[in-house]
Amino acid sequence: MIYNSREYARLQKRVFSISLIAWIVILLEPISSSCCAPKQLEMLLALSPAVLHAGNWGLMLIAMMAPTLVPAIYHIRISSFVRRRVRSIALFAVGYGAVWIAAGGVILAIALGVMWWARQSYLPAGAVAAVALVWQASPLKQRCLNRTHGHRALAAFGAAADWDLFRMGCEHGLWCTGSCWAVMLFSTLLPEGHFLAMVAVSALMFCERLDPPKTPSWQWRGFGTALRYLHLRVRGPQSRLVSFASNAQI
Amino acid sequence: MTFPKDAELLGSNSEELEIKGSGAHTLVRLSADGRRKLVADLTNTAGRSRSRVYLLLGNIRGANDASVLNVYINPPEGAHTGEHPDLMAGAVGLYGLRRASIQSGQHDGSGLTFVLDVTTTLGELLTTKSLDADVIRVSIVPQRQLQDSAGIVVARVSIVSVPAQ
Repeated sequence: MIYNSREYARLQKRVFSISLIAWIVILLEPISSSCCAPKQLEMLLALSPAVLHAGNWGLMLIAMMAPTLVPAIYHIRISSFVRRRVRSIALFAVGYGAVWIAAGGVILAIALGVMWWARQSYLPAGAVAAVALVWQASPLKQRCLNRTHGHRALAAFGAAADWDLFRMGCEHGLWCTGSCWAVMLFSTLLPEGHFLAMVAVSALMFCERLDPPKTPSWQWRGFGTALRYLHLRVRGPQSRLVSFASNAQI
Repeated sequence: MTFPKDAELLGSNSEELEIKGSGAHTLVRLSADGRRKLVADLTNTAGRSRSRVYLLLGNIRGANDASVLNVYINPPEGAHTGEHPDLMAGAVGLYGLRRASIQSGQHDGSGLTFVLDVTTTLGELLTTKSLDADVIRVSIVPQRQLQDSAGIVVARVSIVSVPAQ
């Protein structure tokens, strides 16, 4: 793949902006947008059509998942003719979104069942958090992450290109769902602090994708990268160079 | 304020290319915009630094590591490619191909991808009027005859323009 760091950075800024807008919408209209917050879930399921839930889930997906899709979108941009780029990215998004909408249906159904069984209890969320931690360290999780790094060769012309992009979206969505289902379920089951949990889960999902593919094994992943990323953002990339330079002067 | 332009796909072949025996060829079809841009890039002799044009051999998979492939641009049909060294875009060694083609460990099995700078070759073809169609023929010839079991497949051959930074 041709890689141009400036082009990649520009694309990343655009995608992050879209994600930020989605976060702001969720923050400003929590009742209609935080479809997964248990407090609102029951009321919404009773009053609103399924389409609304799909829309709200979609909004949450844009906020949480868009930053993780930058490498895939970059691959699509560079593999598609300029005139087809928007269409290509849209087809990828449709495939990716379809898989996550289906997964969202399952996650919301589980959340509803748990709410019926143990309303306002942290026990289910705690149990799923334990499962999520085990999953986070498991080789299977690494397999899913590795597959999200791989990008298929795409046809450039006609219906073959459209089909390839839709298929790539579905495949990427499947591996992404496989990788993230546990933490998504955890954030959905929390009776309180749903928004903060979503932010934390998003940061973890973004940071674990920054790591290169690895041989699957039992190990913690994502947390170390998240701390290093946070450190880099807070202190800036120069801090290490400055300390190195001052040491060299001594 | 002007933003630097992005890399741009100019053309691509339409299906996977299997390399066996003494080689194979494929046709890279340029889009209308791609052809215009290619000609503009290759004929831009103004003071500005011009874009580079690259040939991408994408997602090559196979079982034979010990192969070197010579890549030629627009060789005359039926001609022996060895007689046209000026049309050779480059050579790629497929070391590590077998492991990169297997879905295991950290590899996702998507194979190897190579990038060849074909700015000069295409520029000369344009100068000699040998590049007058919407299609560019790309021939891939192994340095040693391949056995059928080598199973070398190039998933996509494409041409990309990258603006000078």
